[in-house]
Amino acid sequence: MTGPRKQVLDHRQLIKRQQILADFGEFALRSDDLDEVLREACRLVSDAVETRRSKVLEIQEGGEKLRVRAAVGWQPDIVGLELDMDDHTSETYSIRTGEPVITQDITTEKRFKTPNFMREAGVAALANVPIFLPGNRAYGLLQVDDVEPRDFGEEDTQFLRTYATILGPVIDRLYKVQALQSTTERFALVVENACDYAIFVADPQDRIVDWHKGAQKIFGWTAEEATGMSGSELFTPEDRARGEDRKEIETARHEGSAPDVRWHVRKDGSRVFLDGSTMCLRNPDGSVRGFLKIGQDVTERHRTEQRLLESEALQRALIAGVPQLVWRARSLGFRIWSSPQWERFTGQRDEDSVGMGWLDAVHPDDRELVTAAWMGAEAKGGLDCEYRIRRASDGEYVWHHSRSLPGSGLGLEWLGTCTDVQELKELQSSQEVMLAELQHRTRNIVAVIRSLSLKTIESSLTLEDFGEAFGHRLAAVARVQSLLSQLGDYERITFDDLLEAELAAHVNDREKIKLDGPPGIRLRSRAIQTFALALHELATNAVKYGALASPQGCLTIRWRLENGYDGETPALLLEWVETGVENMPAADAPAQGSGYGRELIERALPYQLKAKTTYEMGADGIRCTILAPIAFGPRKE
Amino acid sequence: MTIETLAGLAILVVEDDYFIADELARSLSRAGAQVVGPVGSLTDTLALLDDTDHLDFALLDLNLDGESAIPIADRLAARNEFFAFVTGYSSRGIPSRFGTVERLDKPVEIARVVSVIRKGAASSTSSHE
Repeated sequence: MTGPRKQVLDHRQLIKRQQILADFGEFALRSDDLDEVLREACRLVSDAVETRRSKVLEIQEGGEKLRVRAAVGWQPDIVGLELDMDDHTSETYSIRTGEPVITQDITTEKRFKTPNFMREAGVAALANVPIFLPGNRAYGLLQVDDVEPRDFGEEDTQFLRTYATILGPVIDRLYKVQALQSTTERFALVVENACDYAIFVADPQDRIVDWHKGAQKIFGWTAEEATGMSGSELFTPEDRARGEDRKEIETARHEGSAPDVRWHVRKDGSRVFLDGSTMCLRNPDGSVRGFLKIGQDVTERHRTEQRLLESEALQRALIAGVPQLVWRARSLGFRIWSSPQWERFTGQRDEDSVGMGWLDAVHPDDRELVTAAWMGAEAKGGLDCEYRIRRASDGEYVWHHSRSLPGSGLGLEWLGTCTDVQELKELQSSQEVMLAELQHRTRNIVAVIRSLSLKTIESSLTLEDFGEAFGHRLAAVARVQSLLSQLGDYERITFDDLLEAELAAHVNDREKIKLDGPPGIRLRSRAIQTFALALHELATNAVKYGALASPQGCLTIRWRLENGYDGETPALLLEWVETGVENMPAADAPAQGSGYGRELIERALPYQLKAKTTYEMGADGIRCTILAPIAFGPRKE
Repeated sequence: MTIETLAGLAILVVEDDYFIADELARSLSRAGAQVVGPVGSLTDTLALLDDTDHLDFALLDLNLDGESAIPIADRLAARNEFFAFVTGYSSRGIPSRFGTVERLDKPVEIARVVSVIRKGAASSTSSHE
């Protein structure tokens, strides 16, 4: 290899080369098409160094291949041809060293391999000049060649180097333009087709200048209608009143962009929720060119989120507010969460109640039951049982009704509640007592009425007799029931009330009656019916045949509270004494009335009320005593 | 009831309500039965049983003014004597060992009482053979 010799160019050639450089620079600035510029570069360089052929080789991504990007004097199909960047080629060497490499005659070239296509194309001499982009990034090569061996002199080499130096920035600029263009195209494509996005551009005064399809679809205004509108008009009145529209523009102006996540107004007045931002566009000198707004219509999502938030808040409020102990568990009662109510009631912290820890708060006698209930819960499709839970405040065990259903989610989860049923249970048991009492009374009344009807039939000669006597007896039963029904809880009928009601039903003239006894002796409700019937029969007989039927008759009724026949149980002692009765039948004569009164006193009261009774037919009237343990003791004040 | 369907049978009536007891006793008597009692309390009934050698049947009111009649049932069962419960609105309080014992709901119909007694008396005769 001989070193570059001093090449002497004539003036014409120098001028021409200067001209070519100037032309190329101008052309390169006019054109934005890299391929066109490179082709022109090849044409001009061939012209300048008077070779037939030239090309530009571009390093491909990865740095392992060279691709023919532009060529002049070659078959058109050479463009696109790729060469391996072989260490043994002059092209690779030139790029690595950053220096031009000249091969004056490839037949004598020993340093480098020449690519086959070049040999086949009859290349005899070639010059490789590396092209670098700003920042010293290798772009490729400018390669000129000739079909005859030639001697590229120093002038040629310098020219080529200068030319390649110009090419770098030119290529770089076009690269950027191209990248920008593809971005712009992409952007335009996105903008035009992004129908879920409202995209529009406003001028520095926030007047809409550019209104895309998506914006039309979302807001409803066409481009013609929207152009010239103020961006503020898209804000809701309440946001405008708060100055949110100005704030957003100002933020974008100062920060470069501002979030735009809010309700907006559509052409028809309805609202749309956008999630996006406003960006400030600036000119190269830093002045504001306008604002680009991009927002996605997330109304549905936003509404769903709001609803979800509301429902979650509602659920939280519900769970926190229900007067129940709420929990979540896996199967068999393995608890994974307890509500604050559980902690408040039992004093167990969440971490103590999880797993099977909650059982500690359950009454020891109920643990087996609730565990068994859980065992069968899955098969039954639910849990439903009652057990006692210890209350932390006073250590009392309180009855709770526990219910739970398995959720439909993954990994069977149970949401359950424990409801305080203590009061309910107490009510239930008191209701059972009441029901039993009611049943008893009803059955008793039925039995009494059946018995009354049978007895009355036995002692009635005619249907009229029966009707009258039965009516009176039924009325006596009704009076007692009416007295009983007027009672409140814990109230009792007093003996004087009962006696008064009975006398009022039979007697108009009280002159013949002496009452002697304290008021307020309370009687047991269960005993009253039979006792009242006995009084009724006594009074009936007194009115019909006894003291109240005789002109000289006198009825004395005495009563007091006694300590029963055993000296302990409170008992009512009643004396019914009739005097001055005329025409008294003999003591062994059949009863003047039905004899029912006597049966009641002598048999029913002892049987039913464990009363001690006497019934005597005296010479001037009957005398009867009843000592019945049916009273309550004096009230303890 | 004119036909003496229960002729010669000794039947105990345990019932705390006088009117029910009275009517039941009368109905049984009319049907030819020899009524034992009626009695209305637990202690009275147990005392009466001590003095009674043989019973063909007993009608037991389950609830005797708040006291359970089950001790009477146990005594009767120990004596191999037949009985039926007369119950109010529920059968609560009847132990499972008496699960097969007949129950008569109040108010009892005498015809039903008679058929229950005859059934009991019949099985008692067959079991004595």
